[in-house]
Parts: sequence; structure tokens; C-alpha cells
Amino acid sequence: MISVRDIHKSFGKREVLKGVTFEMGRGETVALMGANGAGKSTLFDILSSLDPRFSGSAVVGGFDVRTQPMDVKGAVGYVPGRFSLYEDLSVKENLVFFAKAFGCNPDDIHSLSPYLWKSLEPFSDIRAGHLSGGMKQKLAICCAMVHNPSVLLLDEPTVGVDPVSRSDMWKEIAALRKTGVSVLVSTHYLDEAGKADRILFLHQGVMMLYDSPEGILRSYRHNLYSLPCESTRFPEVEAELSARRGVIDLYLYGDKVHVITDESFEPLPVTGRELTRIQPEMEDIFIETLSSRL
Amino acid sequence: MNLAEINNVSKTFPPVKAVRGVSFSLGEGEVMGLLGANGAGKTTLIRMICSLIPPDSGTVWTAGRPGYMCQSFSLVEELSVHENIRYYGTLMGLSRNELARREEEITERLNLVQYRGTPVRALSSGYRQGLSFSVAVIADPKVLILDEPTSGLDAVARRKMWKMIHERASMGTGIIVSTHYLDEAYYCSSLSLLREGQLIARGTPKEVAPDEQSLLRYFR
Repeated sequence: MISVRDIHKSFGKREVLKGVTFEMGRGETVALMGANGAGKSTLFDILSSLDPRFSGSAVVGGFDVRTQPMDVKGAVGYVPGRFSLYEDLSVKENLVFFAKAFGCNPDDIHSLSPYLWKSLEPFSDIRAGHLSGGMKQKLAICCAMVHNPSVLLLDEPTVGVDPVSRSDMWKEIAALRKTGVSVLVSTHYLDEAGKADRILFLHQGVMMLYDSPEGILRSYRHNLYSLPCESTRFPEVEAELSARRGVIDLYLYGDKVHVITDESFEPLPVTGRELTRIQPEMEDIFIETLSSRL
Repeated sequence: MNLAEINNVSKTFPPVKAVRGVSFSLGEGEVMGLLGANGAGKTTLIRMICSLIPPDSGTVWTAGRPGYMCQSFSLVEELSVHENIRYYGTLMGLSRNELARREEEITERLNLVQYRGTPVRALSSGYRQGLSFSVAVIADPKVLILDEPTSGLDAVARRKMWKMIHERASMGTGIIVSTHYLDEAYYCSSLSLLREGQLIARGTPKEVAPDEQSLLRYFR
């Protein structure tokens, strides 16, 4: 449903995408991961046919984004990182507006995304501009889905969305997968990336990884240890560990500290607490890839 | 000594009761995490503490004017680094000399000296993050309020933000920070959980919820 070949894109002298190539099948969900400024939003603008100025080729939903932009727009639902709603219209009016713009029956809109609509319905008559950030995101997704697109492009749809609503949004994505909709979704919540079929990891415009979550977890190159630690005690733990042989990097991880080490590290207790060897999670992979100390 | 006292505040945007009778105090060096579902009243409460909107009832007291950073980094995109620092510094009532000293200190610490004349929108997100935080604390506020400072940041940038937060707290600043990242609850020294405008839990992170999974129940 998405076929991308060797995309390069520059803004002036700055090359933002440096040869991105990937294929995405029908009903497949791909999570797009990368640091701020990695080129994720630029890629979304190209795939949704908003920006034809790039080299390489992109076919989305069976249409070439450069030569068939109107067909692409009909096949794609796009939620850009910045809100795309009409703030002066109510929740319901926004949905009706988008339905009519795509020539759809406005009465069908509630059936399209039941999980999201459940939490939006009480706010039907409230102006979109008065919604909280998370509610706006949910509405934007509902609006992007009114025309039953075969490809959904979601640029950070869960920014500012609370944990339970995030999980609802992923239930929605799982339901879409079953109906054959292909979803490309960027996120900074790395637990979410683990729910996708494949993960595309973009770093400074270069594709670092494109693999299943399991494959990516296996790509971890170091040893990882964990120890319980309140954030107030982090400086003390950091000072003690930094002086040890084999410690590459360490960082807070919820109520724990994670320590990246090489083979020369000896896991003796730190400030009296035991270290446990653990398997990395998606967030550890991300940090390992971006760590400046490696 | 308390740096902020919030006493039984309420706010209604008819027909929505956004905040209902919330009370708490904030101590020196405390990092209070403000958590709750979308629409629970976090941003309304924060806006009242910053006196951006008045409460319908109840009282808000803070030790001096709080520093404030909103969800989308409150920098003026079209203005340069220099102009942003001047703009916010002047708003906070800094003198000309103090402002010049601050600008030098901030641009040196953030390695922004060569970018003084650059519009903020042309800076990388890392620089913008550092600059918006520095601008929020430009007048050394005793109370600092951060509304979802890590929303939209990657895993490494989030940890840099928390490093800045902890550094400030160690200087005695009382900090209120809202977040949707459950792991970040444990980077706070205390938590306040809001549901439908009411304060439903207050305590240390471990008192409120021993782990991230049990923290989730406050969102349902």
C-alpha cells in the first residue's frame, strides 16, 4: 500500500531525508520512530502528496504522490502533527464538514471509530477550540477517517493524550488492521511502537532499522542492568557507576536506573543495591542508538 | 516553608465543572507531578495558579510570580534568540543590566552564542527545548510551572528535560509539572492526581501507586 524508493529531500542546504526506501503491505501497521528532527514529519508530508519537491518515488494506495495527488488524497487519511481542525466549529460540525468535503454521508461518521467516538460523544456540541489537547487529537483522527481511507498516516497522534485514551487509540488501530487499512504512525511512546507489525527507525534522515519489534529488540548490542533508584538519589548512583569499568551510559527509567555496559563490567551492588541483568525494552533500544557515549 | 498554597479552588466553564474544590501546598525544592486523564482539569488548575484565569471561588497564593512553560514551548517563533530572551525578560520586569547578564549566561550555557540573531523556528528542537526552559526561569521564580514539558519529545530529550527540572529543584525552586508519561511520575517527589476536576490522591509516588500499572487506575 506504500512503496517508497530512495527518497531524498532537502530544505536549502540541509538534507532532511537521505535515501529512504521501504514497502508496506495491506493491513500492515508500521511505527515510525526517531528523535525530534529526524525527518518524520517531512516523510509524512511527502506521502500525503502535500510536498512534491523531493527526489525518488513514492506510491501510496496505488497512486503516485507526484502525478496523482488527488487520488492519493482520496485514498489517504492524514493527521498531521499540528492540529488540522476548525477551532470555531463544534466537534460534530467538524466531522460533518470533513464528511461532506470527501462526499460521504455525515450520518455514518459515528460508526467509523467507535473507541474514539465513545469518549468524544459527550463533547459533541463543544467547539473544537475549547477541547483539551488530547481530545483534539482524537477528533482529528476521527475527521481523517470519515472517508474510509485505505491508508492512514498519523503523525504523533498520541502527543498529550492520557494513557487510557492512548490504549483506546491503539485498539482502534488494531481494529483498522483487521479491515485491511494500512497505518503508518509516528510516536515517541516506545511501548506503542512495540504494538506495530514493523518499526521504521529514522535517524538524521537515514533509515537505521526496519524490522519487527522482536527483531529490533534482538539488535541490542550491549548488556543492560537495572537497579531500583529514586530520582533524588540518581546523582549519587551516577557518580558511583561512572567510576566503574565497563559502564557506557546510565539513565532514569521510571523508578529504576538502567545501565548500559560492555563485557568488562562487574555487577557489584551500587550504593548497597543489587543490579539485575535485564532484557532491553524498546525505549532502551532507542536510547542505545542515540546515546552520545557510544 | 511553603512556596504555594492552593485553597479550595473551583472553576466552571458552564456546563463543565473543570476544577472542584482543590487544595494543596507546594514546598521548597518539591517536584509535584500533576497527573490525570485528558479533561481532568490539569491545565485549568495550572492556569489559575499562574493567574492567567481567576478561580470562581477559593484562593491561590504563590511566593512571587511563577515561571511558566506551556505545552508547546512558549517561544515566539519569528523572533531571534536574543529577542526572545529580551521579550520574556522585560515581561518579567528584569532591569537592562540584569537582562544583559542573563542573556550572556543563557546563550553560553546552551552553546547558543553564535545563534543569537537566528529566528527560533530555525533552531533544532534540542536548542528550543533548552531555551524555552531558560526563558521560563529567567527571573529566578520561586515557583515554576511546567505544563506537559515532555509532550512530543523523544526518549533522550525527555531525560534532558528532567535533568533541568531536577537541577532547578535542587536550588530550592518548587515545581509543578504535568505529564502523561507514567514513568515520569517516579521522577517527582510528590504526586497529585486529578479526576473530573477533583483531587483524588496526593502523596509520594510510591504512596500513590507502587508501580506504573497501578497508577493507571486513577485514569479510569
